[in-house]
Amino acid sequence: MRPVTPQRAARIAACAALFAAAPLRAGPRVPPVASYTIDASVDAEHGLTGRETVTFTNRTTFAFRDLALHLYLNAWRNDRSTWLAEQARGGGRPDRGLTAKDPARWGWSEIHRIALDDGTDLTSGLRYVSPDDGNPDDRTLVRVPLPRAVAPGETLVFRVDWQAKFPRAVARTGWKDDYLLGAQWFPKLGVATDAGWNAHQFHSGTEFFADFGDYDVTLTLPAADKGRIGGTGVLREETELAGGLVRAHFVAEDVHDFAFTACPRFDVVRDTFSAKGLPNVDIVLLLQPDHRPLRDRYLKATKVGLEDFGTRYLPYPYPVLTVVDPPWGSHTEGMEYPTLFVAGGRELAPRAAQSPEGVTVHEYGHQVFYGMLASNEFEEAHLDEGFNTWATLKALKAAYGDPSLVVRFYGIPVTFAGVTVPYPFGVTDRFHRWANGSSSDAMAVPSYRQLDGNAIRSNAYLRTTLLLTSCERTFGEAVWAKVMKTYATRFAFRHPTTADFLAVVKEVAGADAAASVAGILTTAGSVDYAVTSVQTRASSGPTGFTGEGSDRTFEVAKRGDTATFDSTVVVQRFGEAVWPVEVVFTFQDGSTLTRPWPGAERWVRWRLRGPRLVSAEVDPARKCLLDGDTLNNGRRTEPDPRASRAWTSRLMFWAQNLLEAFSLLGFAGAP
Amino acid sequence: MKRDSVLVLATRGLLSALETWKALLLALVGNLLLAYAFAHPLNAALRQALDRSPWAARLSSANAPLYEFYGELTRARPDVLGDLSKWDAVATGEGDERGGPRNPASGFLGATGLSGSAAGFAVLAAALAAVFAGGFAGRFGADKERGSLAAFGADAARFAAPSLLLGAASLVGILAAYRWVFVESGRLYEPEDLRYEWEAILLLLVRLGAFLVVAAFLRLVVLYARAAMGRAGRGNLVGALGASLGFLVRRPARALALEILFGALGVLPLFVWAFVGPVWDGREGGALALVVLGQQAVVLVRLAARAGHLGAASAFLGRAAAGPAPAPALVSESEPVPEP
Repeated sequence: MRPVTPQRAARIAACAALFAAAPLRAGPRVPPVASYTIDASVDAEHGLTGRETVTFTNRTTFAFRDLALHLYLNAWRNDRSTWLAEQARGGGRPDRGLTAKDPARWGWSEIHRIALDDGTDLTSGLRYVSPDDGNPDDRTLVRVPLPRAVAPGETLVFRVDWQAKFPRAVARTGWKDDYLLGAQWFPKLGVATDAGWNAHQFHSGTEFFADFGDYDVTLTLPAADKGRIGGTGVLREETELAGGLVRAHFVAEDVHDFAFTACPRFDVVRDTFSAKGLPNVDIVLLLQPDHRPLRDRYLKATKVGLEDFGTRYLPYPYPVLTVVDPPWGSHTEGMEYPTLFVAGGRELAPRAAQSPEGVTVHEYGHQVFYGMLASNEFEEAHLDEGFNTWATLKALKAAYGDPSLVVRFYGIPVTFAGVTVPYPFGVTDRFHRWANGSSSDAMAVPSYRQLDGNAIRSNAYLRTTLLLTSCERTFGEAVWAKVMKTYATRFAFRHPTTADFLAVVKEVAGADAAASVAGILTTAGSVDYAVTSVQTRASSGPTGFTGEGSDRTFEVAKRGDTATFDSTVVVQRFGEAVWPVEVVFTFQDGSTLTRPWPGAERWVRWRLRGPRLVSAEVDPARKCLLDGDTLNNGRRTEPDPRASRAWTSRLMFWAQNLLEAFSLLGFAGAP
Repeated sequence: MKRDSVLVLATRGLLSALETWKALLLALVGNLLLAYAFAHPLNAALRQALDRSPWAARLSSANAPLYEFYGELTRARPDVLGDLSKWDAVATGEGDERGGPRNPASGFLGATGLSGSAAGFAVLAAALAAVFAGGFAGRFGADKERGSLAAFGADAARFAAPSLLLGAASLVGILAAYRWVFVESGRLYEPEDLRYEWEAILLLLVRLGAFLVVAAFLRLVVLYARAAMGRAGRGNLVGALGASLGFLVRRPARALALEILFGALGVLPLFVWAFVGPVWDGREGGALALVVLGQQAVVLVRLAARAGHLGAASAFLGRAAAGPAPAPALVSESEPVPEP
C-alpha cells in the first residue's frame, strides 16, 4: 500500500485542474474529498462494464482502516434486498417496474477487483455488510479492509473494476425502451466523518449522502445516442467509435455524484439563463418528442427556479444545467443529481395543474439543498426534501399563483377553473391525513429508521414544509428569509445538520423561535388548539349581601345594562406539540381584541368585559399550519346557520341526482 | 317523416311520459325522500361543524375556500363520508392504473359513512325505480287511463316481481361486464410499458368504450323487455326477454340512437343547472323556495326523460307489431256498369 502524500495529491489535483471545465462561478473551490475517474461502457442489454479510480483525501480527524463502498444497483438484485423488502411493506415509491419472471428487469452490481494504485489487491477482503438492519441478503454496502489506515490529511488512490446491470427503470435509475438513466451506478464511497464512515444500506424511503469531489467520466454507449447524451457537469467531447458506439467525456468539479442519461429520441434544446446579479447558466433540455408542447414551459420553470432560489438562497455556481424530460412510464421522473435533474410531464398537461412546472422548480431546488448544502439524506431527509418543498411552493406561488383543481377522468384532464387549490393546501391535507392515522415518528428520528415510507415522506416533505411555513408566518417573513439565507450561505458545501440549522434560527430569530422549532422536531404528536367554550351575558351587579357591618345590604341583581357584557372564553391544547398562537376575540360592535398565547399550558381561560362577544378564534390568520383540526379553532356565541343551510340545499339536490343516476345502473328504463 | 323514425318515437315517448305526470310526481317524492335520508348524516355534520364556527362566515363569502373546508371536514370527521377512494377510482379510471378492484362490488358495501351507505341507497333507489318502471310499462302498453294513479299502482304491483328480477339481472350483468370487459382487459398489458402515454389513454378509453357498449346493450334488453311486458299485459319474463332480444337484434341502430338521445336528454338539464342555476346563499327563505322549485324541476325533467325512453320503446314495439303501414288502396276508375 502506498498512501498518497499531500504533495502527490497536490500534483494530482493540479493535473485534474487542467481538465476542469466546470469551475464554480459563485464561490471558491471546495476541497475535494472523493474524486472519481471512471471509464464505463453500457451494452444494448443494459449491462455495464466499468473501471474507476478513486482519490480519497481524509479531511477528518479519524484514521480510516477500511473503505465503505455503496453498490446501489444491488437493491434490485433480488427480492431479499433491504430496498425491495422495505418497499413490499410500504416503505418506498409504489413503482411496478420489476416483475419476477423477466430477468431483464432486474439489476445488480459486482466488484471484480479492487486494488490500491500500487497494485495491492484488496479484493479478497471485500465483504457485504448490513449495519442498518442486519439483512444478510442485502448487498448494497461493502467494506474493504486496508493494509494500513489512512491518517488525517493523507490521500489514498484505489481502483475498482466492476460490472453491473441496469434494471427496468425503478426508483429513478435504469432503462425503459431506448431510454437510459444511469444513476447510483458506480461503486461509491461513503462519507468520511470524524466518527468514521457514514455509510448506510440502500433504503427504499430515503436517498443519498456523499462527499464532494471532482468527476472525470468517459462513457461508451450505442452510437444511436450520439448527440443525445446528458450527464453531470460539462460534456467535453463525443467521439464516434467503430462497432456502432459513441464515447462521451464529461467533467465536473465540486459535486458529490454523477448521473447520465441517453435516448435516441431526445430533442436537444439549448437556452441560456441570465438575470441581474446571478451568474449565467447554459440550460440543456433533453425533451421527449411527444412532449414538444411543454418545451417553453420547462424552460420557463427552470429559469424560475434559477432566479428564485438564486436570489433567496444560493446562486447556481456551475456553468451548465441539464434538464431531462423522461418518457412515459419510466419511473425516473422527479429526481435530482448534481447539475442534472429529471423533471416529468404528461402529454395532456393543462397549465392550471402547474405540471411540469411544479416538478421542474422542485427538482431545480434540489440543486441548492441537495446539490450544494448536501445534507445526510439517510438520516435527516427533511433538510433536503422538506426545505426544498417549502422553497418550491414559495417560488411557484410567486411565479404562477395558486393552481386550480384538475382531475383526470380516464386519462383526460378536466380543469375545474373555479376551484382553487391554494399552496400549501396539498401539503397540509396530506400531512394531517397521515398524522391522524399514524404519527409514528418525530422528525428527529433518523429517516431510514422511521416506521415506513409514509412516515418518512410525511416527516421529510410535509411536516417540514408546514413547520417552515408556520415559522415564516409566526416569526415574520423578513426574519425567516434571513434565517434561510444565512443557513444556505453559511453551510453551502459543508453538509449541515439539523443542529446547525437550529443554531442559525436561534441566532437570527431568537431563542424562543428556536425552542418552538426544536419542539416540533422532537415530537411525533400533533398540534391542535381548540376554543371549547364561549359565553357572553349582559353585565349585572351582584345578587346577595354586599358591604360589611351596618353597610351590609341584600341585593338582587338587575339586568338592564345591555351595553356591557361579561364574556368567558376557554381555549384548550389537545395536541402534544406546542406552538405560539394568537387568540382573537370579535365583538358585536365590530371591534376585535388579539391576545398572544405561548400555548404550552393545557388550557387557558379569558374573562372579558365590554361589548357583546360574537366569537373567539385561535390563530384565525392560519399562521400555524401544523394545527390538524381547524374546525375546532373557533366558536361563536350565537349560531350562524347561513352557510350550512346554503350547502345542505345544494347537497340535497346533488344527492337526488346521484340516486337518479344509480337507478340507471341496474334498472334501465326506470325513472 | 316515418312513423317509426327516432324523432317521432322519442316525441311519442315523451308525450306518453307527460300523460303519466302524477306517477312522475310520485317518483319525484320517492327520490326526494331517499335523498333526504341519504344526505342527512352529511347535512347534520355540516350544521354541527359550521353553525357555531367562524368557518360559516368564510364559506358565505364570495371566494369561499371550498377545497380547504372539504379537506378540513373530511379529516376531522372521516366517519361522515368514509373512504371515497373506490368511488373515485371508478369515476376517474385512475384506480385501474393502480390495480383496481377485481370484483367491482367488493369494498363498497363494507365501507363506512356515506361511501358505504351510497351502495345501499343505490340498490334501494334502483329497486324503487324498478317497481315504478313496471307501472310505467303497464301504462304505456295500455291505450287508456294513462294518467290514472290507481291504474299505475295496479300495474306497478302486477309487474313488480318480474321488473325487479329484470333489474337485478341488469345490475349483475353490468357489474360482470365492468369486471370482465374493463378490469380484466386491463390486466393484459402494463400501461407504463407502452412507449407513449397516448397509447395508454387510448387503450383505457377503448376498454371503457367496450364496457359501455355492453352495458348499453344490457340496459336496452331490460328496457325493451319491460316495454314488451307492458304491451302484453302479462309478467312473462322469459317471453318478454325473448321478444326484447329478438327486437333488438333486428333493430339495433334505432334502439341505440334512442338510448343515446334519451341519455343526453337526461343529462342535459343537470348540466344546464350546474352552469347557470341559481345558488341559495342561506339568507332569504323566499329565494330558497325558488331555488328548490328549480332544482325539483330539473330532477323531474330527468325522470320524465327516463320514463319517456320506456314510452318510446313501447311505441317502437307497437309500431313493429303493427307491421309496415298498408299500401294505399289502388282505385281504378272504370265506366259505370249499368245495373241490369
